[in-house]
Amino acid sequence: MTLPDDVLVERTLAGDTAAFSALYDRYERPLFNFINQYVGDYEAAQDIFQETMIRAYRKLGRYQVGTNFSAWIHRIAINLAKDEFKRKKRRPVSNIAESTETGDETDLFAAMAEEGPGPETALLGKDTARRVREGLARLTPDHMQVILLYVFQGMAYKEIADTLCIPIGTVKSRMHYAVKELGKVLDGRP
Amino acid sequence: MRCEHVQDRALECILAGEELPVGLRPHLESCQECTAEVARLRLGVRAAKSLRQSAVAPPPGMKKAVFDAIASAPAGEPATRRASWREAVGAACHWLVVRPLPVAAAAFVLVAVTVVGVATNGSKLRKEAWEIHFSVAQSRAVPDCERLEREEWIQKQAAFLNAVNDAKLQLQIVAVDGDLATVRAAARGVRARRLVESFRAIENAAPEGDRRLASEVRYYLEEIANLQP
Repeated sequence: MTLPDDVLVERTLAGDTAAFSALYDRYERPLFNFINQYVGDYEAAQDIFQETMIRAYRKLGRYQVGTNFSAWIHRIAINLAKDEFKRKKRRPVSNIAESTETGDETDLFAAMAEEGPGPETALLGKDTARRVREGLARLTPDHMQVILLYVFQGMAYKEIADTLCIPIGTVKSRMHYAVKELGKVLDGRP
Repeated sequence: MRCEHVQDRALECILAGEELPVGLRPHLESCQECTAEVARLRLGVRAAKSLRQSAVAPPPGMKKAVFDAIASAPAGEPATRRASWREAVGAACHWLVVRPLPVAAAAFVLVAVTVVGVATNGSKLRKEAWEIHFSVAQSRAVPDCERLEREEWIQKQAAFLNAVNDAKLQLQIVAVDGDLATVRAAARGVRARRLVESFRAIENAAPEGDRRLASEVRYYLEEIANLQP
């Protein structure tokens, strides 16, 4: 049986390190990938992820059981990432986005269309995937956060709103904008 | 049915991997703009979901590094359950006496920001909240500050609380790890002088029980303001 986050938090606070280990395992992959895509730098993502986990452990007493642990730990990560942006003066737009390589976007759209109307999770080609990451890197951090929380955490609007401390309406509008922008990149009309 | 509603509803369904509701079809059949927009949203969601393909594994040894760092933490961590904000103010008062001023000052900014967040939930203090939001938001270089300004109050309030949360987290860190320079930077960051002014307004508007608290916090904020170079 999978224990809820709050139970693991309570046990950690009671001195059970194994409980925090379980929390770590639960969040390691999705949180790391969230940070990695958000900062666009694998090395920096390692530092931020590590610091997020350490800080989460040390500040665990400040987390209010009954709220949302996932939102709480993501807020820590986002704040650390913001500090990283400030330190570097700007978001390190991914080297993918800085690529000067150009391609026929219309052909790309056609290629995607040929893949048929299948599930949105259908595998995309390597080149298409690269362009998606390129499109993501062009989004503002605010829009990117919303997309990444949905993609890597499977968060619904309400959870994203809780995580980012913004109204659901703002989540919806940011999601709409971000999805639309990604769509634009792919259909060749940015 | 409005286009905006159709597009919002369509996006929700696409994100959830569901079929579009039958009720949207008449509109979509008659509205080219919405049809095109929904097609683009489908493409965008598909693109977004494809990012999962590029998920990477964290480097090996990461967990060990984290747990080694945790094991080397001072005894007693993680911290015990957080005290209420009233208790926190009491503890902070004690801190000022027994701790070096800069560290205590940072703690008081933390408490003050928290109290402002609580106290400004009421509509009466909207103006003060908005002022503080701006001073905090500017210090955090919130990129869409101007856009937020045009939005409804509820949005402003949420943005303000968001900025306060950011500031709180930053100050929590500073209060624990900070040196004098960091504390000064943090004090500048939350525009302590502006907070002092806002607390004067809060003192006037606060119920009797909280007025003394606001007054105390203001006093310490003035101390913080004096720290600024």
